[in-house]
Amino acid sequence: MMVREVACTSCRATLPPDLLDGAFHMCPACLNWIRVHLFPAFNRQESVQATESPLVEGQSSCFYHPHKTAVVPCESCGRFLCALCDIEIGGVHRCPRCLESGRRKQQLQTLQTEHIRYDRIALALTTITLLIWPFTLITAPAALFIVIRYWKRRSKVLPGGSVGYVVAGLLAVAELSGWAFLFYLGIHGWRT
Amino acid sequence: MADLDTKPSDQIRYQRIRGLWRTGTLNLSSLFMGGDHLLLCDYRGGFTERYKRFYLSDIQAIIVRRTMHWLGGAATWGFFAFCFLVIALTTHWNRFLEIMVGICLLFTLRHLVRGPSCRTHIRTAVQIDALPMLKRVRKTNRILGRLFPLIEQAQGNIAENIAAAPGASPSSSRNVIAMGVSTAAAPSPVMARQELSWFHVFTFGAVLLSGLNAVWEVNYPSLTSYSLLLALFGLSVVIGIVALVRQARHHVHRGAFALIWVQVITFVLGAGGIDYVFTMVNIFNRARTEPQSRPPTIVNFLSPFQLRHMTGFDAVLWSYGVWALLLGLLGLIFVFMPGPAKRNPPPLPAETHP
Repeated sequence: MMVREVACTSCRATLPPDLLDGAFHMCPACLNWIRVHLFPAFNRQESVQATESPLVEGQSSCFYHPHKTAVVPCESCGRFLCALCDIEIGGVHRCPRCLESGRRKQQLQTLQTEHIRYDRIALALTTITLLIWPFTLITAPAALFIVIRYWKRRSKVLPGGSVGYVVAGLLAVAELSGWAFLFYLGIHGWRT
Repeated sequence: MADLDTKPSDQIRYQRIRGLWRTGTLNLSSLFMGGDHLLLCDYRGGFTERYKRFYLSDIQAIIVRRTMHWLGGAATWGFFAFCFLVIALTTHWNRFLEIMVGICLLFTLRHLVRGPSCRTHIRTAVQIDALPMLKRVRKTNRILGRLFPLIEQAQGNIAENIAAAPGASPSSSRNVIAMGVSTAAAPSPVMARQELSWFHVFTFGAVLLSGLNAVWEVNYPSLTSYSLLLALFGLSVVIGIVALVRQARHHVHRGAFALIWVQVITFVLGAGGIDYVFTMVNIFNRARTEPQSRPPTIVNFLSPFQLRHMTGFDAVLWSYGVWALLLGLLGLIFVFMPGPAKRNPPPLPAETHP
């Protein structure tokens, strides 16, 4: 059996097995009270799947490895894939190229690890600059530009991704309308 | 290449299971449940979100470690409330002091009501990550209670699976979990005798003596004993700072470690705060008794010897004496308390000579 250990999260000392019962125990090294909940994955034996299955006549071959037998088609591009090329995420089989493309274009939600909140940038531009309101002449168009330019990049991972964009856009339009009204008043007053 | 057609399985609906929690100056984090995985979302600086996913079938362990932050927080706010109360009782009540005492007491109560604090970590085969939003034992228990059935659903029955693992003996489920780790695994940590930190001994000794001296000074005031008190106070702060530096490198008892921080912070902040408050009280009193005199443009803080003549300073000395006695006694107990401190390094492999 593979030796697996659980270390104290404070002192990194290995915890004795009798302390791993889901109750609070004192770490023998640092005297911190610590509780460890173990799950079956802790003892799971990692099985290595055989990826080498040579091509037999009459069978389809992998698109990327012509000498290997295809086991599944890519569900995005339809290419046949061997066990090595098949990447399964959330029950969907894809080839590495489709996966990389999806990750780059942020189309695969499960692969997205970072997201820039342009809606918050637009909101900050429209709200914070109200304290120094003359600046809104520059920041309101900038916020409107961000809302339109990055509308398609709103968060697809977490809920409520478009609310910020809508609010920022409305605020920017309101500020621009205010400026337009001010300009109108100025020109009208100057003419009369 | 054509755009990927996003499958319905890619569209995961996340449900927030723990709200926003501050993990840095501008960083917040939140925990979401999304079908077969947990999503840890870090909001960096407010404009960037970073995601970490923990699949339920991959979670090996959840580790909860109790911390003393709740007691520290409650003690700190309680101390400030006590200081404001002492100032209010010895001078005169006003609205500002009432509000300050109220706010400090509210924060103290908040720490006590929310219960013991903790740090929670989640372990998978490749990483151990902190869950910074799970900071209180009670809340953590509640959330783990919701998560365990889901993990069990993803990984199978926890007790049965671990019992079935090779090397495990089928006994009670708790023991089974422990045995399942491996009977040959996890050598217990090597205990090392705790070395005595003389800086801590001197600091707590000076604190204890200054506390006794303060109580003596209240009952038998004299210039000599007050000078001695000031010297001991200054000495305890200076050695306390040295001990702070030292304990960063050397392993000392956790209690002594925490108390040195409490001592230095409360002494420095307390002394500064009391001097400030008494100086302000002095200025207001002078303005009241001498209305024709102009308020000073530069605030000259009272010296320690001027402070001694202020009304109500005896109460400050009393409270300082009690606090210092408590701190010094506890500190000395912790310093001399026997306990394991350091793990010995593993033995070097034996050299093989050809």
